[in-house]
Amino acid sequence: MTDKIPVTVLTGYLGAGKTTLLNRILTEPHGKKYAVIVNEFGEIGIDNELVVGADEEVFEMNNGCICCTVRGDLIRILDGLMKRKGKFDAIIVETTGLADPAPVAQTFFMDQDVADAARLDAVVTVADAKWLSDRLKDAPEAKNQIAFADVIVLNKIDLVTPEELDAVEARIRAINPYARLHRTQNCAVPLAEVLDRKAFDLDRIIELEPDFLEEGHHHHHDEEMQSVSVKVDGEVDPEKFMPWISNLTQVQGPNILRCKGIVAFPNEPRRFVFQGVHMILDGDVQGEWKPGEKRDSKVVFIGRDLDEKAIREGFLACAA
Amino acid sequence: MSRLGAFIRGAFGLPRRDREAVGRVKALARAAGSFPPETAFAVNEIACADPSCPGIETVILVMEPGVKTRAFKIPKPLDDVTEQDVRAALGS
Repeated sequence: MTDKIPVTVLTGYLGAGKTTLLNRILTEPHGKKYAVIVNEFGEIGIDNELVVGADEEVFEMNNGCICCTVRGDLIRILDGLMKRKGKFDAIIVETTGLADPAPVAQTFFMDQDVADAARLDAVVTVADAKWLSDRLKDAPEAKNQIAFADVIVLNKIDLVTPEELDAVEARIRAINPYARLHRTQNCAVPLAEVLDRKAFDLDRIIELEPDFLEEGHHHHHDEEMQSVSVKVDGEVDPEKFMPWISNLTQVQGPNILRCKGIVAFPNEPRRFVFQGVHMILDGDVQGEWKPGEKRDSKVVFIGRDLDEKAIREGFLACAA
Repeated sequence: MSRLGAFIRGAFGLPRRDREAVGRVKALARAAGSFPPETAFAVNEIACADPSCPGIETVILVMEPGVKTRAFKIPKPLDDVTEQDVRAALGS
């Protein structure tokens, strides 16, 4: 894991401020060297940084299955970058405002060579506080980018009133209650909050979200995209849970953008941790339960038109 | 218990971490056509659980500079793919 190059995916709707954040990352004196993959050569005139143009080629590995789409351009570029290994510390993939983050993320799970050489670090979404609510109404891509995010930079807060800001944040939380959210002007967020988050590392899910097993208090509602979290007070039976999660992600995969969970199995001192994108799941036992810690189990799904009742009943039925 | 991780990996179309097998088929693909040296190849065994997908397939992506990526599919697990399969798939 440690020798893999971390890759940050930078998403956000047009004009939200992605380039501002990118320029900050590239110019602040952090001593790291980045390779940046951009959709087109924009106004990134940074000396001695490697900026690579890409064409955002979304490619189906299989029969039009949404879960088997990857970014062909990423595979090609990473193949070239890996031959120059040692020349940079990390990679940033900047997507256009119209791009779906899923094929980018799936590339890291589906492609053998990419998975061997690089690790997906986090999906960072820059959102425009003034215009996001409108975009969420008319642009499905904007909703995908919020739903997918590990980190949300809610930018341009100087252009809205405090009430408007609270309203737009509530819209975001209705879709994705779990992302780390930062309110910013000119994308002024500490870079440590954006880079090297290890959001897709199973052993960091617990560290990043120490309150994961606590019940949330999110009462917002989005009519189309929502998060469903279900908690079992105690352990679950792996003989029931594994077939259930397999079947659910197979059947609902196209609708499930992200999922993650921490599960307690009987007689297993470690937590079973999983996370996934659409129907691609990664899971393993990680990190021992602390002495005296309550061994509860929780799953979270973010997606479109999820059947909350069926998910809830299905997971509760897995209780040991 | 770690088999559970393997179970999920195997059940959801995740590539098995077998560089040798990938390298072998990649070399066969490169040898099967007259590709420019900058051509990138991606070889993956896909076992998608989606009912609309055909089960285990080896997918070879050929990425020539300036040309749209092409996918060639062989309906076999990666380990079973032969030189003849690759030649037939790539039409060489």
